[in-house]
Amino acid sequence: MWGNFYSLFKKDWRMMLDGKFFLVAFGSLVLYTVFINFGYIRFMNEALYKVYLYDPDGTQQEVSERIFRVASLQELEVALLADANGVGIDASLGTPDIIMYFGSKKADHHRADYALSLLDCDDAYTARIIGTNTREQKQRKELLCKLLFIEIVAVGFWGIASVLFKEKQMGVVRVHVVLPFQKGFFILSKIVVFLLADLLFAVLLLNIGFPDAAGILPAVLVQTAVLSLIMALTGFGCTMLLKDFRQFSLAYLLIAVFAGAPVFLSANTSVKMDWINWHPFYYVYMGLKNAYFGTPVTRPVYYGFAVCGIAVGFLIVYVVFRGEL
Amino acid sequence: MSGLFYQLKSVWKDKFCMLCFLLPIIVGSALNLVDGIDLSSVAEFHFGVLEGELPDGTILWLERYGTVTAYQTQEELTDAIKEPSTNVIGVEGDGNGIRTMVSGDELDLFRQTADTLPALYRGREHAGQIKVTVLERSDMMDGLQRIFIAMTLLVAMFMGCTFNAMNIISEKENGVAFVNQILPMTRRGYVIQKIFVGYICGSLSAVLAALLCFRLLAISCRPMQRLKVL
Repeated sequence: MWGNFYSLFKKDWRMMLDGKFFLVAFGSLVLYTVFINFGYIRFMNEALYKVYLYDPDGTQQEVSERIFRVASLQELEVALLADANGVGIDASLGTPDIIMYFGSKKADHHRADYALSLLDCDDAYTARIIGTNTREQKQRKELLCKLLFIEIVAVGFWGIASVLFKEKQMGVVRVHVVLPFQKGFFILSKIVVFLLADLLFAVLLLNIGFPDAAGILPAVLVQTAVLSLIMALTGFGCTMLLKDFRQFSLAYLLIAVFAGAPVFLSANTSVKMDWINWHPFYYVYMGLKNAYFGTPVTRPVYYGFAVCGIAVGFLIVYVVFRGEL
Repeated sequence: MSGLFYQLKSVWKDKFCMLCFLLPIIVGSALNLVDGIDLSSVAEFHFGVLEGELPDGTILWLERYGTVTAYQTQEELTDAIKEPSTNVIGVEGDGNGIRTMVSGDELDLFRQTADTLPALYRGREHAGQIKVTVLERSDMMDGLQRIFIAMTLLVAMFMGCTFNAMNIISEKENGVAFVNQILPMTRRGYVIQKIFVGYICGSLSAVLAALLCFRLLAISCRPMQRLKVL
């Protein structure tokens, strides 16, 4: 019995090699690694607003080092035009007047008060730090989580469909009717192949240094397995139900837009949607993100739902597959 | 140019390509109508305080700069500050002044805001007496630039690749791929035309979707005001 499964597994592995799936995954890995280390970490930062002071009579002497002095009102106007978040202080009449371009109501209050505070040199205070991650560590983990999610949802999902459509086209699926093994093995071998490929990808993508990685790897692999199985079964089901790859591409697009966009917005920004708690992918993504940040999900309910979802998905795919035969 | 014209014509007649093009626009319009997304919090600061610790005047002062959330326990406040998806600045009392806490992993913008907040609190009465002139700019997006960029990138990435994929798969299925091989057209010319058409349609779809989603068309119709005093 397991000999048959092993034959199917070898066949699927070879199909993935021939379909250049591993080449695409390797290319993605290289691209993501370069992007993380040379793009995102280096350029993803934002400093507080620049403050420009026009003080021809020298009435403001003890100002902070963060202030930029300008020589004329024209220079002040040019600086503010070029720097939309900048704040100008015109002290030519003795008392400081704040000038700035509109940002948002509350941000403008802060900008004005901050600019004024810089006129009294007082740079000593620093806020108390209570977290354990630096900015770079947090950005790495956040981006790794997003990239792994995209890779499994997009590339893995697409990969299993491309392999299956090829088999459908060749008539290989129908041939399996007369082969002497349990029909469920056909589904099982495919999802196991993609599961192993996704787990390997998750391990290779871990770009956060060995001490951190060793601690979070088991939890990340568990969440990767959950997401990989869900997407592999979804891809298998869509492939069986849809006629050709073009229709599948449209379904893929719908899933990517409706699964990906709201989840990313809710999980990574302060934008919160009322209905996000009904979105199943939100919980899977948060499970993956919490695993990366060292606080893995421990609630049995989550794992219960995941296992049930995967089991139900497998049953549905099995029924559809039997219908196809 | 005539080759490009034929590519555009072929795309126009392809139902799947048009569906790809319209899908983000439909999603953007739907999000615009549904109104279930509150984007106002994106451009504001977020402060976390312990329930009952700070006087009402201080809370009102903090609300000038953003939203203030009161937490029941110190653990809840600490978890909210450490939460990676938000940039909550913890504020606690310190005699007549305030102290701030951050998680240490936020952008410099939020760290520097937290560092300077006690100084702003000390100078709050003097700040109220200063004249502030706010100039309007019609090309600004009310602090939504980052979200606009992210949404446009997301849609443009998917549209860019799926649009061309749909187009070329249709050509393969209809046999047009074989006809292309005997046409007086170089491979380089074909690739450039396809990339150009995919790029234009992907970009246009992404921009239209973002504009509809964030109601920028409505914002751009606001009458321009030259000066406003805070």
